[in-house]
Amino acid sequence: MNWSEFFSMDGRALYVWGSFGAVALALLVEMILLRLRIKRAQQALTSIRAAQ
Amino acid sequence: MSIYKYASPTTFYPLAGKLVPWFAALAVILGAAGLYLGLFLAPQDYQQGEVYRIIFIHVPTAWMAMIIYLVMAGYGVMALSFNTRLSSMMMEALAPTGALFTVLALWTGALWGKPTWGTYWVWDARMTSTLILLFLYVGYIALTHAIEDKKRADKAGALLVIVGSVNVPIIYFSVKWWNTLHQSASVSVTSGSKMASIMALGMLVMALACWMYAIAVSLARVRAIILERELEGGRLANWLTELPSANFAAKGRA
Repeated sequence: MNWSEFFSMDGRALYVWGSFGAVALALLVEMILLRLRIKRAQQALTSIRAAQ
Repeated sequence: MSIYKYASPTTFYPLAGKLVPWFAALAVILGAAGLYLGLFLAPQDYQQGEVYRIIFIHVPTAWMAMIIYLVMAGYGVMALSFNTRLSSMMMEALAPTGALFTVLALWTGALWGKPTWGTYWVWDARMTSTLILLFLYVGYIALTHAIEDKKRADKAGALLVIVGSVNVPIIYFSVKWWNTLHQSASVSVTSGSKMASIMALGMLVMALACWMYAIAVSLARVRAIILERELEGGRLANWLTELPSANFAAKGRA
């Protein structure tokens, strides 16, 4: 299998990889933001519990 | 023990925490298998060549956009009829992921439209109704954030989502009811698949991967929402005082 041929996608690389790449990027960003949100909530719980 | 036990945020919080890694792992495995099927094993399309491979990401994201909305509407019905807090929290947890999948369906559709139809966008029935779906998601998020009282926000949000669900069958049947530039369904509930089986399989596996991803992400998010709402008053509910710290203390993966 020829990799450069694979990545060129018939010369439609921008459309194909623009689609798959955007999805990968979007899911990655969502997961990072979610991790931050969970951490914030958990830290809030930890500090309230410590204060009690 | 009944399943109703898990309708309470108190018992659902630890359960969701246990389920997230399993759904995440399934999402990774199915995603890898789906990409392999779609990008390597599936043959070229005889009309479109390679660019058709966008189908393996476009169709699953578009399905998820509609399915997540319907699941939200289902939770909305439960929230309004049984007054269950967890249903509203699940709606809140699902909305960002649903909106994201809608954006991705529109984005991948535009990138597929340009090389095959010669345009990124036309106001055809399917594309317009999908754009309206995005507005419904954004409208739900904006509405629930704009109302200070959480109970009222939940009710208004549930109502908006339920009324808006009329749009989903419009999206689904748009390609039948109207003359659209968008092609008609390649895979349908009633008539099966019109594609080569390896292509259909790749699409199905990718769709399952998206399902698993959406479940993992919304279960993880609902945990954050449960904590946020419980902590709002600045006073701890009993179950949070007694919750073993392993359930929330920072460790590897949340």
